[in-house]
Amino acid sequence: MVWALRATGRVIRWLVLAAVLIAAAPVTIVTAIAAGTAWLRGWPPGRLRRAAAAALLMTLAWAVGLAVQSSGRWHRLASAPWHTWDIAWHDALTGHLLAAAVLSAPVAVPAGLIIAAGLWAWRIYAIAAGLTGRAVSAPMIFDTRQWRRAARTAKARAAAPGAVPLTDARGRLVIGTTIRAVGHRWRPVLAVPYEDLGRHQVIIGASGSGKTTLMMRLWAGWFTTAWQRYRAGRAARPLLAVLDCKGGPDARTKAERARKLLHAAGAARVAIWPDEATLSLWVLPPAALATTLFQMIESGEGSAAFYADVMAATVRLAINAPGGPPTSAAGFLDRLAPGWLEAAYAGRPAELAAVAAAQPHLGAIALRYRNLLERLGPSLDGPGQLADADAWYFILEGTAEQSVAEAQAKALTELIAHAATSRTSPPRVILLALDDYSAVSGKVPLSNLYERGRSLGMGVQVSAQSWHGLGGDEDERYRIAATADGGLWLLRTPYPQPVCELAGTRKVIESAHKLTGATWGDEGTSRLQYAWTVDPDIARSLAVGQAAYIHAGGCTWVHIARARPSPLALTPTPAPSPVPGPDGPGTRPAQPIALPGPPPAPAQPPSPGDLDDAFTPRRHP
Amino acid sequence: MTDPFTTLGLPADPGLTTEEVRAAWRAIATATHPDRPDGGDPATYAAASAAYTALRTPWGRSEAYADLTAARIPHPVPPAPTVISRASAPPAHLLTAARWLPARIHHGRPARLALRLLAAAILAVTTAISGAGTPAIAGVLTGIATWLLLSARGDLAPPPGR
Amino acid sequence: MTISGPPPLPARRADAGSIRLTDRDIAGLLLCGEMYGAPYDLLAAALDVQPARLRGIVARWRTAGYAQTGRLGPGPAWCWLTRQGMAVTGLGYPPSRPSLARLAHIRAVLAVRLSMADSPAWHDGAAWWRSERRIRAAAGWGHPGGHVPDAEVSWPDTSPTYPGECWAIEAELTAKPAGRTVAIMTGLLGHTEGYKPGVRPPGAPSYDRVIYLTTPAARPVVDRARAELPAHLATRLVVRDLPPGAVL
Repeated sequence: MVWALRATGRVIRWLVLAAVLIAAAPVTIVTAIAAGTAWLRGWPPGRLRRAAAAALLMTLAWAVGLAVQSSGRWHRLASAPWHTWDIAWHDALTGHLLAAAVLSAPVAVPAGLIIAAGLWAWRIYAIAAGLTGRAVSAPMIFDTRQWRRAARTAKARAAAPGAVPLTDARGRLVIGTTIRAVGHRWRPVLAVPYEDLGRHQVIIGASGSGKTTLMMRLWAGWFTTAWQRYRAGRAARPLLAVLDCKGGPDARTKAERARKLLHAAGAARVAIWPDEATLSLWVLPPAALATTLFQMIESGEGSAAFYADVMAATVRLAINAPGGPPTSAAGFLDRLAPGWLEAAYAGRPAELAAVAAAQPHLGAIALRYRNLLERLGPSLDGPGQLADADAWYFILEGTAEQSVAEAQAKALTELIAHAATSRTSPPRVILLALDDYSAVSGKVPLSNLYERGRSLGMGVQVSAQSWHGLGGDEDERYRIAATADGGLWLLRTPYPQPVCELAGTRKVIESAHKLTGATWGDEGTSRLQYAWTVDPDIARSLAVGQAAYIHAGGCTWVHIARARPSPLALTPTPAPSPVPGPDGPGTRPAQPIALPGPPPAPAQPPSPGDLDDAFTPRRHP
Repeated sequence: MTDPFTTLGLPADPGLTTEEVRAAWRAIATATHPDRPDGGDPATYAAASAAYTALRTPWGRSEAYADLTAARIPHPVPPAPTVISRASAPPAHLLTAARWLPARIHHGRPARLALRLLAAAILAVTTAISGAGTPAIAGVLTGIATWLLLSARGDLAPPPGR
Repeated sequence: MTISGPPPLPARRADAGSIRLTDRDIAGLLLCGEMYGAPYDLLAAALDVQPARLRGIVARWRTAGYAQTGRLGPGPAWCWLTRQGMAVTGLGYPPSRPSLARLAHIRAVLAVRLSMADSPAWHDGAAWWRSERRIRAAAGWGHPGGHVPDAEVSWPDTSPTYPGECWAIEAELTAKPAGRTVAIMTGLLGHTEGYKPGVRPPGAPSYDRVIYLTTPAARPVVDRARAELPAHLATRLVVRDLPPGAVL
């Protein structure tokens, strides 16, 4: 009897539901289409909610139209939805389906979308929590299938040129289209605040995972926003410094790609070092110069520490000699020649005593520096300074010549730090990007650079091919990754576990069911469980161009959009106007427009005499 | 004094290849070389040679482009205080956006955009002739316009500076 | 009856058949040796003779085996020293014909030399010119590859104008890449080698001024390169036009 009552109740419930669904057929149809599309395309419920919000505009327009039609008779306005429903059914039953659809659309579309969003959200929750599903493995199959579909949708959306500009209207850096958001609010594209690049970021991805594309996008996006802020007078001029520490022909290709992007982003000069431009190490202040020169040479510990001290003292004497520091490698080497230091410090007994003490080792020290400076070549011997360009791409041959590359890295990071703190040159907003820095980190551990950058207000971005490439030991790796307060980017890598651990966990519902034969029974338990915020299995199986952005306890999986130079110039050149030919307008092809030349050079301050008396002939008698 | 890009008849683009620059110089040099039977045009030849020397390397092109943009890009000025007036002109950024629209369409996905516009037009016409009454038609047309605006953005190239 | 014949010929001189060099010959030969060679028009101006007269002078040098002449390129003929000419002048440089690629440059530097030598400051200050050839021969320049200026001009300490100064002279005829020009300028302005104890304090630059003399074609690059120098170096760099006659 009870069973019959329950069955009758169930049937009545189903009949009532069917009646409601049929009565509200337009809403039911929209709901079914929306939910089905979301299932097929791997959309999150948030997307349906956003669509519903956008569709409310049509409801508003319909309501305004009704208000106007009612001419202020409010009782008519209040009964309009019922009235509209009635007419729509009437039209449908009399074969005027089009009119019925149009009549019901302003209410049915937003309502159907919002209901579909709710149903779809419930479905995802129920599957994930194990509350529903035909098979025990339903949650895994569902998740894998939805991931695949979402990735496909994100990839298609990233191909749309306007969907992923470099920056959005608020100046945030757009990276790509969202596949899935865990602990972050879902948005169609992932936009990273510009300020996050002023902190520290870490990028980990194996070769061919799309790391270069991601970095180029970050650089171009950062420069675009920084440049616009500079032009608006709100910030200092930006300076991007990229250290490509692996070198080789790939580095040149990347440099050219970066140059094109940065030009399109507004950079006036992009220098590629050492192929095209040089810098002068000798502009460093004497103390920094002496320290850098000393650290560029391998020096020992233990019993070799004495020799290291002698070398350090000799370098300081050479740099701080009366008359100013050296301005070139040759000038520095001259100072290590016999007799120079004695002559320079003549009349200063304390320094002369130091020179005398270092005398026996002077030849060896000079030889070591001559060797080092010859191997470094002219690329750090000037002229040129960081302020000469808006972006520098430094190519270090860390694979081919590691010791030289380490010395160069030391010098370059010192020059960049000097640029960040110099009071004699205009301030710059600096982003320092280190690609595969582990290849040259022997002389400057990355953690030191991190701390230095933080204290100088400089953003530091570090990339490595794997977790192990971040640092020399586990402590250093954790220190670098854990202090990446600007976010951590994880691309395909064989060992993502430590990064997943750093990203933390989130609470999920885990359900257990009683099995009865081959099916689930009607009893079971649910409990709160912890799962990785960043799923290591997903991280291991990421496709090329997919990445996880880990920040503030959440993770957004994203398909990175390829950065392309904007086909529209930042400062458009006027379209050439047709030049009328002898036979009338438009008969001759347009000539190149003479662009305005550079402004006339400001009047040079009068040099100490223009020396006319030395170059003008005498008036002969 | 004209810039080296204009002297060689090239667009001011630092992304020019060395072959393009060389081809442009050769064309001018062939037509103006002083050794030509008609005497050529030594002044133009000299100017073209100087322009080629400046533009023959990527760094040289970058330098020349930098000089040009330095002349064009005004120095940053602090934002002026906002003045609210009753009869204010349309916001400048809307006019700028309208000016850039043809270029954004051309460099985006014009075919897809055309299909979208066609679909929107067909839906709009169908709605208009449905006889469903003005408020509903207005609502649906608004919905079609909203859909078009939101979905067509992806088919346009990003505006300059983004 | 007495028959009178023609008057007797004067007795042959003891030095008959040998060339006697005057001060002008020596000045001309030294100029050609120091400057790699000289075109006739500038050589005539240097010796203060008419061009037609110069041909006779040069012909004597040629007969003596001290010099060779020839039309090397467009414009006037050139004169340069032979091995015997180097020996007799004591210059000791390797004798060679001026290379065709350098003719314009050699001419321009010689024109600058003559222009300076004709100026009031030179006349009053008794400056002297040290040619690039002399500088290279002295081989006092740091590590290989350092730039050698086209000339040095030194003013004595007793000179009323620019006492004790040393200038580097550079002639620019064509527009080099700005980066290279800046590198040369910085190298010259920062050069401290050739240090001799007691002459200049250690670390002091070798040149008080670096003078660039340019053609109109090269002027923009040189001006731009100068603008890129740090202020403390740019004040020591002077840019002027080449004198008339420096370029054909």
